[in-house]
Amino acid sequence: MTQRYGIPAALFSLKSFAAAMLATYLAFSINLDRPYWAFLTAYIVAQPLAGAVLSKALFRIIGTFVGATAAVAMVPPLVNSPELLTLAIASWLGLCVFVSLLDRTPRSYMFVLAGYSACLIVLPSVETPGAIFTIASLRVQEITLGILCGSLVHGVVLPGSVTRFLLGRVASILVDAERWSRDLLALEPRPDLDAERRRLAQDVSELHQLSIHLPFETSSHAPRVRTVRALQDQLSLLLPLGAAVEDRLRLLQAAPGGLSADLLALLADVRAWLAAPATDHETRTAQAAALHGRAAAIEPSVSAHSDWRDLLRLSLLARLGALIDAHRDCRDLVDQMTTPSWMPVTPRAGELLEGRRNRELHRDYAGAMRAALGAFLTILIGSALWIVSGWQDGATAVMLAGVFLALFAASDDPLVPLRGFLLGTLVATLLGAFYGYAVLPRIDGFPMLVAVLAPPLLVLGALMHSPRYAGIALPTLLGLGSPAIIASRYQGAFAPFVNGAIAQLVGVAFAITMARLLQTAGVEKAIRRTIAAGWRDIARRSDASGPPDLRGWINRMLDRVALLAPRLALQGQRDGTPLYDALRDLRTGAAIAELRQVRLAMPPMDAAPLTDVLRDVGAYYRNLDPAAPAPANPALLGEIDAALAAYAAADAPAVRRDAALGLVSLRRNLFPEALSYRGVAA
Amino acid sequence: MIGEIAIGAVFVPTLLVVALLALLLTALLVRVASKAGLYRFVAYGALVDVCLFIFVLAALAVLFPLLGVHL
Repeated sequence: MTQRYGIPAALFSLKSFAAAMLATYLAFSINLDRPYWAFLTAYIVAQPLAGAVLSKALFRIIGTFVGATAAVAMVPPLVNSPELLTLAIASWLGLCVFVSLLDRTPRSYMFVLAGYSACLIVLPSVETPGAIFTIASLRVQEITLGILCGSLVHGVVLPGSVTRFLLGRVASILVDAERWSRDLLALEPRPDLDAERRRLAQDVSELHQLSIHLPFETSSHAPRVRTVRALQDQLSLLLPLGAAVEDRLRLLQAAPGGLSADLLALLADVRAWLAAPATDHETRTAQAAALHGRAAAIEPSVSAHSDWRDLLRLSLLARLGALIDAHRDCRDLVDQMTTPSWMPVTPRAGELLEGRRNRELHRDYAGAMRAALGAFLTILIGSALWIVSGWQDGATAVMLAGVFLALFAASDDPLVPLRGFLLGTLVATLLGAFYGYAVLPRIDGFPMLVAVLAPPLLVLGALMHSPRYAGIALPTLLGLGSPAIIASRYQGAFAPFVNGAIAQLVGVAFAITMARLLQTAGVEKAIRRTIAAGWRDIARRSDASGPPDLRGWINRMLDRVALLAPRLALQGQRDGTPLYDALRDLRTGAAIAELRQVRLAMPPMDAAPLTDVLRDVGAYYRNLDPAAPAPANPALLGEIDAALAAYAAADAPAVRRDAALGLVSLRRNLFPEALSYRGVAA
Repeated sequence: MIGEIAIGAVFVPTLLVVALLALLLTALLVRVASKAGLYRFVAYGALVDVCLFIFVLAALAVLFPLLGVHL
């Protein structure tokens, strides 16, 4: 009911307005130097979810404090050599951007802020170095005031709950995941299913981003972060397992003879179970165990006489069993999230939660380095232009350009938000001129100021709530919070206003120029770096000899899949093109982990065929060139087939089964076009 | 006269330090109360949190001068 008629947007706008006005009023009444900073900050931390406001507020306070400390430490020793001071501040910004890009969660805001707060404090105060401490301390106070007002209003007045939002997302993700699994088990394939299923990777990343806010949720019943992590693990399994099941199923369907009756019956029952799993834990666990048991019962045993069809059937049934378990675990963990108690809802949920802490993520050092260099150069070149030109307000332009490059370093195409900023600043300048010279001269006192500012601020605040207009609404709001408007007494001087407005526009334009200079072919390169990082990882993992870390591998690789999808879309390519298929690489890595596990369990003298396969897979991935990826060497196919034959004759049934499972997966991933095993020889 | 505490060479109002302490204590109390299920009897948790903070701050403001720290 409350979701209709734009009520959430209106409420959000009213709350943000109240917070900003409270901050402005307090800043006026304690005579802070730049009350507009408190005003701006109240709007910057404004977000619909209360937990997100609190976490952003804390990150912003810490970042500002660290940045101010850095500024106070940097300026006095270097004040006599502007070149060195510029170098120091540029390096500091670069360092902060680098660290923030490695983090990639809402936490990264803290590092960005530490970087640009130092710029904001140092650059305007190079003329008056003696006052640096006062300026830094005032900035911290102004920001903190804005943050406190923002947190108070957004946290207390009808707070939007992160928990409720997260649980809503989890419920819809679960429904989607179960529908996708049902569709892939159906007998007639859906051509767009693969592309749709890959959204799961982004959903898992989104859960990760949301979970950062959970510790800041003050309301009761917030699920524990480790429950979210465990759910991420299980959801992550669905993608590779589902892809493997689908692959084997389609092959068996196409093979002469098709699917056997017992398999068809099992598939239909699994689909029915996925459509409506029981809601109480015991029944659901029993249902899953029964289905898994049936899959295990009709699994063919591997022997020296097994043919390709038997192996595919084994692979299908084993992966199907694992898929059923993963779906059961997802359900259990979602139930765990919705119960207020911390006691595990099922013994299995307890196992999954045990010792779960961090999620392994992809780290793009080269990309972070590149962005850091961009921010560094922007400050350096900007400062050079500013000092040489002798334009005093040029400091604002350099400062803003640095801020923008730091803020948008994480985005693939910084030009999109920057264009929004340019437009927003332009609108704000016109609005500001109207207010500064037509409205403000006629009013007197704080209540009047609130009254005249209310119309544009309330409209812009409501626009901020919609993702479509937020990119323009926020810059306009920030532009309105200019020193000419949010000031304790009327400042009618025209020259400083125009100078400031021009500096802002030049700053954005300069940021756009620098971003264009530095970001050419950025997306293409980023795609290749991400893919190549996965390949290097596979190569390293296939050479390693200790116990494999399958969960870490799947998490990191799924993170890469999630990073790649929007970039490939930006390039007009669909994910899953044969060259850049991170999901296939994920499955290859998982098969390698299985094979390493098998190798650890067997005596060293039996391990030779497996070691050959692993070594050559590693060599193949190590030499793969992202610019011109080549298909795997046919000799490797021979080795895989030789290993299949060797282990099919092994004594222990577990070795026969597990080695066959890993090798079949590897064979299907690396040589999807190859003829069936022994198909050529026979 | 506003009491101040010197951290390094920086003077910080005592009240700010006490308020931070109160914030930490409140966060702790909220966690404990939430674990104990007390928030189930509360219609509007956020407001209770704020009031709790004010109580804790008031208590500390009474307590500290008794311990000889000037606010």
